[in-house]
Amino acid sequence: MATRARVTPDISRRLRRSRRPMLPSAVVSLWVALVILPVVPLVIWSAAFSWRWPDLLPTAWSGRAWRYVFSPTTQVRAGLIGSSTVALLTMMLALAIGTPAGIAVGRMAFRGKRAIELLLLAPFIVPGLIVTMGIQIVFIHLRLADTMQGVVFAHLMPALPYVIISVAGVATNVGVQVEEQARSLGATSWQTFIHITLPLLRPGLAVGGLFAFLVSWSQYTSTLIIGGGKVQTLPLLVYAFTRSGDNPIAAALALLFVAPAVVALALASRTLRVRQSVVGGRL
Amino acid sequence: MMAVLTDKRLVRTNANASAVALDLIGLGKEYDGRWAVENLSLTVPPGALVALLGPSGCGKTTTLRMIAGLIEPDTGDIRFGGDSVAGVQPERRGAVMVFQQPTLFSHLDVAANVGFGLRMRREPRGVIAERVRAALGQVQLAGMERRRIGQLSSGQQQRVALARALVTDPRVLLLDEPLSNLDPSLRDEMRDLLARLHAEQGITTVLVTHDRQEAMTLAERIAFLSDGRLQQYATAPELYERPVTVAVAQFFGMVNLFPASIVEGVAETAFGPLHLPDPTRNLSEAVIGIRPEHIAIGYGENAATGCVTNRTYLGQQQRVTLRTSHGHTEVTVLVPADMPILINQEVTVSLPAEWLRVIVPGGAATSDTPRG
Repeated sequence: MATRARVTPDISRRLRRSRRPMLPSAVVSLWVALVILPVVPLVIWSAAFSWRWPDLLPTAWSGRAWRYVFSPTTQVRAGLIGSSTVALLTMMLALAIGTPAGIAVGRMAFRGKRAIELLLLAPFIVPGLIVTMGIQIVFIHLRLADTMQGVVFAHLMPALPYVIISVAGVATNVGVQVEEQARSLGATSWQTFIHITLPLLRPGLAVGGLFAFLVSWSQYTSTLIIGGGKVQTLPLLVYAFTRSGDNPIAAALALLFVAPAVVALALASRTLRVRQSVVGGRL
Repeated sequence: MMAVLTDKRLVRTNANASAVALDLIGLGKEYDGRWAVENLSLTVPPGALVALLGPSGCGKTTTLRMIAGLIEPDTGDIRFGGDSVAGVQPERRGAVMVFQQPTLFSHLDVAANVGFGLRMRREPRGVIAERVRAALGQVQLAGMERRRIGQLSSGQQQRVALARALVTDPRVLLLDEPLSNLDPSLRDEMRDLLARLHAEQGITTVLVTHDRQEAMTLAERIAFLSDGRLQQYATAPELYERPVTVAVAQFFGMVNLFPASIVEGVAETAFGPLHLPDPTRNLSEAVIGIRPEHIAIGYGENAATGCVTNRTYLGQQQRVTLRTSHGHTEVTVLVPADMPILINQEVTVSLPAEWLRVIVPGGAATSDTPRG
């Protein structure tokens, strides 16, 4: 009797333990298939000299593409600087505008809130090309066409909703009472915002900021049209080399293009996981 | 009882020479055309602990938030030590709120939570560390400085919240149901801690609660609110023995209430004519109340006979409800648990005149101030 009672939970625990990794491993495999595999040909192409069908691997190798990418005399450096500058500016502006907006959407009840929430989704629904064509005319009048500011503003449109939505989600949970508590303890409204609201909103800011950066980083059409070729970014270069048929350089550039995104995502997911476990520990 | 209470207050008042009086003068707040708080006036003497008691939705939390400066009153004034705080930002009032939920800052550790108010005031680091340590000692959390908030039990969290408020030396301490989120055992512990800290520090304190027991054990005076109006502002025994409105009577368990008209010291009620003890002026509309434990079984003053309709065993006592033969009025009586009483039994009860209370319509205290 006593032994059976001891054995039964043991078996069920073992069953549970064996079942648990099943789902994650399937997800990991799928993720590998979808994300890692498409990168493999890029890696090979970037180091290939000639790679023709039906060869499984290139017949000749070359470091030409990577030498080009890292050469200081090519356009790559300009593209890298351009992409980084535009993406960072877009991220900062999106955070500066999107944080208060997200707090308002997340917390306040005001007339037309539903409409604003729907409008926030508009950039996901309306094709970017159409929007870009429209704003190009306005930007020409405002003398923003062919400038980096113009490109940043154009990127802001698809980037902003990510910040607003992710901040709104966190702001709803943070609540107003914790701010009232800070005020009551002697913090001014500004001190409350800096010492209480912002730190508590951090997960939302991290996710929103990351997405704003990545959205801007991967813009092609709007950079091309609003920047008018005056603003050089990596996607424009990748596209140019793809069109010209220089696969090794296009592949190397594509890898360079993907790298920051992967690094940023890995960093973000790590900080978010730490945060989550802290939150989980509290419950 | 009264003398002891008064003595205690004297001791408490002396504990903090810098304690301020809190005056609420004609305070009102309107929401959507309804007065959540209406024309509320009361004075909390310096260093006293006063409870705002009442059922939920009576306006007590609204009042507390107005004192804290978190909402602005629509009418009236609030004064700390005689000075109006109208329009003063919450952080400059020195009125610190302790909420029902501990509302700790989860991104900061215990020491940073407790030291928050001092840090916002830019006190030197050494001073902050020293005072945080002392405050944590006061709430029996010594040595917990580096703990994360998530590692604390709910009782510990509430004590951190209390230490965080006390460390700032508030002029007025505002407690919004600080015990109602705690387990019963923790509640007693926390209540004792609150009483001890108040006795030691003598900070002018307003406690909001819906719990009669909590108000009676902690507060020197109780302001009973109902429907946004102050019904009575008095000591616990006064509220218990001499309610001035029906709402107070009902809340404090004076369940036998008979509408009456009074002519020459005799109240005409559905229960029958009731002879009142004191000479009372004639009133066409009044309510006569008596507590169930003051009603006697058997013939006597103001007697009537009825049929037992319900009895509930309460341990030491039983609560018996009967319906009078004349007038068909319900009367609730508390009698010893071992008294043999059966449903449908005929029982005679008498209402001793000395325990009859006359509640006059419009008796609510609108501008009561503490006596003595």
